[in-house]
Amino acid sequence: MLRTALKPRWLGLFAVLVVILVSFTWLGLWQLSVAQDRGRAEAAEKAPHQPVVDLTAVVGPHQAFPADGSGRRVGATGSYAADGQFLVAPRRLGGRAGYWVVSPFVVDSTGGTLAVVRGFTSDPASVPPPPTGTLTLVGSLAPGESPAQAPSGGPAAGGEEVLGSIDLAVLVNRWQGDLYNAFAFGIEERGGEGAQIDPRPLERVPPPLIGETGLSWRNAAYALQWWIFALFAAYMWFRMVRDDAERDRLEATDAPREPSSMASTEKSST
Amino acid sequence: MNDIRDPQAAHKALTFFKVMAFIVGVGLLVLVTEMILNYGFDNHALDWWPQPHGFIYMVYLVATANLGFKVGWGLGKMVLVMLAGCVPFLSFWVEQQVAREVEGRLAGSLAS
Repeated sequence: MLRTALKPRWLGLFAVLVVILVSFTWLGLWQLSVAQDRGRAEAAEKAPHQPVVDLTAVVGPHQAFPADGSGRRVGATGSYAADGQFLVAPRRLGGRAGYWVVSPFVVDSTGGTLAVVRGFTSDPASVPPPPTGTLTLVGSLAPGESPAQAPSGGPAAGGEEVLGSIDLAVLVNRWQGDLYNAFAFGIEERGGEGAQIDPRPLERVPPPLIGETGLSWRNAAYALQWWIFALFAAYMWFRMVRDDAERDRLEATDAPREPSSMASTEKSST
Repeated sequence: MNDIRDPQAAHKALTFFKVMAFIVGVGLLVLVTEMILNYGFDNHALDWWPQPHGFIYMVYLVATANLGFKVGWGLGKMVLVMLAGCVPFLSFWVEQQVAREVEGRLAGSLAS
């Protein structure tokens, strides 16, 4: 069969097959990335339409972080503690390096403290203090981060302390009172009159998309189809070579029979 | 090379091909309708159809190859019949031509 496969005709078709395999594999990968992008886009589109749940209904101070808590949009009324704000570095937003600004938010109904990422800044010297007074916060819930070494260099220029991550085990020793086993990406803060508080100069950190951002089912199917087509082309080539080899074998076994039968007739004639 | 090695297998392969050619032909018309609705009228009622049709088309390819190998078609003919499954209405005509050809040859080989 190998000898059949090395015939110029099959070698030529093998070259075609390789082109088909490479291009179809590539097309499948392309569709797969489209599927991921679409899935992500769909998840991102859906995220802001999730209902806002009261924080107390999701988790309480010292309670374990609920399994389905990540990315939940929670609302809470309370106020920022005057002290305890810190920065987290190194963080990036939109390709720029900088800091997350994290402030302790004391929830009225429980008295517990929730770490809130108020925003992102690339300038640690001009971090505003948290807004004062009672306000309503909407945020996207997240579990505490794992410990990380604070970047060397000590406090940032503005005097705010810089930590390596939002490590709740560290915060429980720094902040007074009960602590939530969670933090929130601030989405909006409303003051007493219901007016939205402008976070500037901080920029809101878009909450990460949690869990399966999912594949777009449709494009994933296209990806799969390209790969199956590629396999099918390979099978076609294999099958044709096999059939040709089979024909060659039949001819080879037929061919010697003719001379031998002729020989036998010669023999009988003599 | 002109006679069919296993007429019974070829007959089965032809039936399989005829069924698949019909399904793909109808599916293709649905697909065209979907594209007209989607791109022409922004109507997404049939948007679920393209993927299943892709898989059905694959079965059509398998049916074509299966028949082609059993009745000894060349690669060119197989590819042409496969591509015919992508052209609206053409698949119906090709299916008829193929059925006529193969049935004729089957009748010949059965008679002999």
